[in-house]
Amino acid sequence: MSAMSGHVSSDRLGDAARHGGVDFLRDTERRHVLGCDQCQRLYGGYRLTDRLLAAPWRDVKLPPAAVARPSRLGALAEFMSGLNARSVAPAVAAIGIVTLIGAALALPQLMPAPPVATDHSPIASATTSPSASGPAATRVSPSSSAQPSSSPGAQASGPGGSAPSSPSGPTPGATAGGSAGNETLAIGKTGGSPIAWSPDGAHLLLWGSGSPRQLQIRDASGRLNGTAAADAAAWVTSSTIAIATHSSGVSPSASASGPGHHGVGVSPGRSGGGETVSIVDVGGHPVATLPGSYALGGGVANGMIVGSGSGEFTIASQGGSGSFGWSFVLWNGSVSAVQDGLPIAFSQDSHRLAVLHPSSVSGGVVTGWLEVMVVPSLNTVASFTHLNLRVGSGSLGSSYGFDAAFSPDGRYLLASGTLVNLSNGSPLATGKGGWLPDGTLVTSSNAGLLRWQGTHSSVDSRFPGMGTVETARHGELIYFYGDSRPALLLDTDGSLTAISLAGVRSIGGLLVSPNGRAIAFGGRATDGSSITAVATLP
Amino acid sequence: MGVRDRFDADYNRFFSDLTRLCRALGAGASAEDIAQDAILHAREHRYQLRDESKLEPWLRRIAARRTFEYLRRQKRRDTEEAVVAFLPTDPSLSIDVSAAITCLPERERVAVVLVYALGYEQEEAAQVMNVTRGTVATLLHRARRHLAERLVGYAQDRDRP
Repeated sequence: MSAMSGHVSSDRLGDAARHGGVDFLRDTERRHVLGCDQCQRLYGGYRLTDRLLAAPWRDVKLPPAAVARPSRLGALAEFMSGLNARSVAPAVAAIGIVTLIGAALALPQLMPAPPVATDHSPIASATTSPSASGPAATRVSPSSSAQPSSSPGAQASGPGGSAPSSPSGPTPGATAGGSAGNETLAIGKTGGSPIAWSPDGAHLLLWGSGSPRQLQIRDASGRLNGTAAADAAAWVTSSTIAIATHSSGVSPSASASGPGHHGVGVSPGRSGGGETVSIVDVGGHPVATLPGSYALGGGVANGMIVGSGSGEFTIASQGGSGSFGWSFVLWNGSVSAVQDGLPIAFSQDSHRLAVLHPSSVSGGVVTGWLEVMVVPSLNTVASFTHLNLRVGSGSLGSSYGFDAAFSPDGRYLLASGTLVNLSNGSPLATGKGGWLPDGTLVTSSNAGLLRWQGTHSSVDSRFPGMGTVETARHGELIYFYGDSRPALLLDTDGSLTAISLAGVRSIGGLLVSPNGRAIAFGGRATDGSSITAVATLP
Repeated sequence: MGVRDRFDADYNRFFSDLTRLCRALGAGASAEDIAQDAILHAREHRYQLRDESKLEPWLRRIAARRTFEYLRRQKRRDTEEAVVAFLPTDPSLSIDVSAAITCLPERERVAVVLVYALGYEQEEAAQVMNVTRGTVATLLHRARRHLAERLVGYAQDRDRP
């Protein structure tokens, strides 16, 4: 019994709840508990706690109000409770001394400085940007000792080594508005959700809202070129797009038995029909319709069509005999025989196709073993059945396709942060990123941008902190942070520019056009609303 | 087998274990990304590991630290969106009871999750949290008391003596 309150102590009640009930208690304690509502309630709380902790655990979605966040005052109190005056006194004294010294040093800096001629500034060699869209813009070319993106091999000297930085080049601390040139880009709002740039970078596909989903085809300035109703889409060439459209009138059986049917799946993706696949031009006008109907796969519908950009595309369909019900056909002027698996990416020369054989599909993430096929014969060149590769959706989150890309030479595949050596199937966790034309893989990490040569990486100190990297096939690189910090653009000539987007607070996802001339992005406007737009790069 | 070889050979197992840990600590959909980043970081800094037999606890500690950093960043954002939390769920108990776990001070909640949700031994939990086993025992004891006091109003007749 607690001498202070007269009640049984909390710990004793907890022990009793754990060890079989009030019989565990001494006689006096037991008699008290049986007659005391307060002790009974606390005992009940312990019993309930033990039941709760023994229950199975899982992810639960809670409204924000249900999650208690300790108030700042509470956190301070918790912190202070762990301190005593004896331990605090030296710390307070040290803070005071440091503050005084800091103030003494900073005072002269706070005095108004005389104007300095621009020619004598550290960025006197900066060139004025040709872009007329923003305020006086400057770009900085790193000196020859800095790391040009075109010769990354020089910096990747070994694992964990940090790349050499130029004395006059941008430094990590200065990147956001410091040594890097700054540029504010005008944007063209598009709405919708960007899917993919055309191979030549002249057009952009976006999803509009509504059902069936409306596909928008816009030019690089964001102007609407055409629309089409579609459930999935991919670029076939720079001027043609393959789209899957729900065909409610087509009965699966009729479609399957109809003449010339080459469809993979004959079961409907949704009740009442399957998907018809057509090819449209950049104005949204139909060019051709493929025979047969296809079943839109659950969970990865956006990846149903994968295009090479040079004339081929695959159509995956669920309900076939393949693993997890996935099978596909290849179109390159005619439709191939049905193959098992789920295509995730063409190589850059379109001669190889990476195909996943799923063992699980959950929330847009597919896990399975990998097969590499020759295009267009679809002969297998490599099978990695030991591999359990996980492939998620692309950089704009739920918007489109698979996050998978071959290296320029076709010897590696980067899939959702895992690098697979296609000569032996060995996986390596590299983090998410993209390829540069010379074969350098760039990924993001907490330390900043990593440049990979084989299995060795080095930090590129010009891109500090955890961000997201996107690359253009032409060689441009953009590193952005998802908050108010400006994105960093590394051009093919080695110049680094900190780019801000007019009226945009943060970038959530971004696509660089293959020619490196424009970006499409989604994010938050300065007023907090969602925004999707395009911008022309300097 | 060197540490680097173990990274590559046991990658799938490490990834699965760390993803589970990150998810349990509250990383939600970002658990896989954090786990992957932790493996990457550990592989890069493997020379810092003096005792190779402690590779797995070390990996877990890195993943846990990164999850906490991630959660701190998330907390700074005022969000009105639903929050995903890793909680014990009993069909006979209301969700408010499960949500009481989120009210625990962070260190107590982490200890509870590691031991009760993931089934770690107290010693393993101590390695992840970089504290002694005794500290974990104390945190668990306090967490149970805090939960019991919070759940007093939810206790049903069958919970009473």
